[in-house]
Amino acid sequence: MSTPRNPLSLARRWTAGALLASTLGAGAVGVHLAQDQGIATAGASASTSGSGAGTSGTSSPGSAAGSSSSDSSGSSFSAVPRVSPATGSAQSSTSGS
Amino acid sequence: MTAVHTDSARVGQNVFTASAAFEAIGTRHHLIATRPETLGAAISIARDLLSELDAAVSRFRPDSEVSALARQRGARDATALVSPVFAASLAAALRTARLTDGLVDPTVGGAVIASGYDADLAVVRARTGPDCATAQPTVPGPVSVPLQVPGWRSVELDQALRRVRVPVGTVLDLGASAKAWAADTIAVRLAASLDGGFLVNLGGDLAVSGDLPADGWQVAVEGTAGEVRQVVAGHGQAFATSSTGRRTWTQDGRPRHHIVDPRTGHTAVAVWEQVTCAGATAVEANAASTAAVVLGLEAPAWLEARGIPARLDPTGGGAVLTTPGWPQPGASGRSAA
Repeated sequence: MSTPRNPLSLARRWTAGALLASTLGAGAVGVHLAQDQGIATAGASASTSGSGAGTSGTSSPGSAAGSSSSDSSGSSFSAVPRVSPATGSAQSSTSGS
Repeated sequence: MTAVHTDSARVGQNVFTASAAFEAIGTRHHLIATRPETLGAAISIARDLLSELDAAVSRFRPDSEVSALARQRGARDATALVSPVFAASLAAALRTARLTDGLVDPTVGGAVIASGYDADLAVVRARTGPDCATAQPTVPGPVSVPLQVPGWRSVELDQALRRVRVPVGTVLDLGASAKAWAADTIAVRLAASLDGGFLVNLGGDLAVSGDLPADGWQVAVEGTAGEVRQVVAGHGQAFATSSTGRRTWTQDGRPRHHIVDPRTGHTAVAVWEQVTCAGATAVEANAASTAAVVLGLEAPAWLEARGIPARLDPTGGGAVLTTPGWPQPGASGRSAA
């Protein structure tokens, strides 16, 4: 859900961005405003145990969205949701090492 | 300290992500944060763990814990009290071995060295001649040093005491799983301590945590030359790719790559140029993709039986295979395959 921009919040975020850019040195091009619009949030945080599987809108290692397995240390692979066709430009890439 | 390059991208109306790329442990890494203000802290968390990982498991650092364990002589077994990072990395490697019924085995270090990979890859290539960056069918061949794979069941790890015992002379190679473990661990730490969502890409092993972008994370499958072969959308899955075409060198005129078949002690036959798998974690995705390379022609059935969405690119070209749960190449209109 979109929310109106708050000038105070904007100022704080730009300040944070400027501080970050100043610490990163060469190559830094700064950061931009971010609003929650377009980001699915459910208020849950990541866990290390694989619990929380199936929580919509969040993800964590061991609990891929839709996963039903909690066997994070056993001898069988955890269930994996289907991978979807792309809906946008690539943000990162997997490649052989 | 290597340079950190940052960038930002618009992923929706008034929605931006911030990303950073940097090198460590001999490869390139990529972090994305959905809340740009968290990027600096995220980079610090990632680099701290990678630094610890390098000190623990690098085969190419004489002062690493792996090297110290391999140097022990005298008794029948080599033992050591190890760091938390070493213990956790070894635990991940042993779980990978269990998951794959030993197709991915952390005790192949001696065999990897015997195949010529005994130093940083640039050094190996400079010594042995031109590399084989273009994927070629690789077949097992004679090597000058006897091969020895003690087997993962010979490794004892007491995680509570952080005590390790291996047959003396064992060289642990945790490279197949340690990077994936680090990706998972960093992703968990980021989501536990910072707001927003994160994508952690350590040299191609990719884990995510926290908030998901509305359309998921858009992940490209890169080919040997860095070309994009397909773009897919992940909704919490991790991804990993194992390749027989990238980390290559020659030995006695024969092409070699870094994945050893522990059943033979030889470089795995390169039926697949690369295999990309999705997993609940990067460790699982990496275990599956590495095992698939070792299995060769048996890989598609093995992956399908375990419900692992995967894309398999044959060596020398030919039709790309996918398992159920992986989108057909071209379905998104973004596949070059």
